[in-house]
Amino acid sequence: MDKIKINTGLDGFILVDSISKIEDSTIQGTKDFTRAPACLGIESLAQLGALHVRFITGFERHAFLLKIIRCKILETGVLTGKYLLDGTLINRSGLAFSYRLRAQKENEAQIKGEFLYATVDYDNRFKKEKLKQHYQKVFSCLQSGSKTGCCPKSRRDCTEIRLK
Amino acid sequence: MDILKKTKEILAEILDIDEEEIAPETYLIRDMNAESIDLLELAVALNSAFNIKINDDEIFLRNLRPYLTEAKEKQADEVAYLLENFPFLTKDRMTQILDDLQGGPVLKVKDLAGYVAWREETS
Repeated sequence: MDKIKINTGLDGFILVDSISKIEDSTIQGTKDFTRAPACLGIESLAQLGALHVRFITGFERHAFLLKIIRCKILETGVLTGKYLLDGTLINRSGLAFSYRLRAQKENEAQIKGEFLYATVDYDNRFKKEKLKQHYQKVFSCLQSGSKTGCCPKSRRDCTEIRLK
Repeated sequence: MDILKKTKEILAEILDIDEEEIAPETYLIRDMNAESIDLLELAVALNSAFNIKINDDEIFLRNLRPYLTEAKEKQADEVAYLLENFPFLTKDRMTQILDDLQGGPVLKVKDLAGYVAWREETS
């Protein structure tokens, strides 16, 4: 398949800079924003939750955001500076997972909400041999705090990998 | 906690319908047009409300037809075979389900309540 290039104005699709702590039902990470709209903060939280879902399912299933059940944005305008992201798994079934997620700056929650994820088996569209390894690598890089290490050539290459 | 009442409350919220329209005999998919993503949300909501483990395949009778095919291939008693895989259903209910298969998805509200009660008893 040809590569598809989308100009999002971003330097990549990964909107989490690092994973600082992860346990069976919690995850913490960071994201440094520079004049970003609040919707990107929501996307960061969504990605953080999805990382935890993949972690607890051993990267054996494809995870995706099913629904934002509720979300409150307390900071109006643009996001700037380093934000602590954290998530707690609050409910789950075998296939679906509900998280309370928060983006904090200077100990104050700026965005918080409840996000629902689902998992499905890898298939012809979501190929296990490609995606499992990819997400494991991204996860490992974020744990080591080296997001750029996920993408040896450039962050833009990350975008292309996900679109293949 | 009244399991059926709480289950109806949850369904009403997720599917955005009046609780009064939901009865034990109401079909989730045939009558309430529940979709697969609604069922995923429902499973998490039931886990939250009742603090029970939810197996999506069991509670939503997902593999009912493949199990039925297996039973036929093995020439096993169909009702007994299916009850082994869906132990929260009664023999009478399973017989009803087999008689009802031609009509479409068979899951009813009372089956969800039955699953919750069974989980609470066996946990």
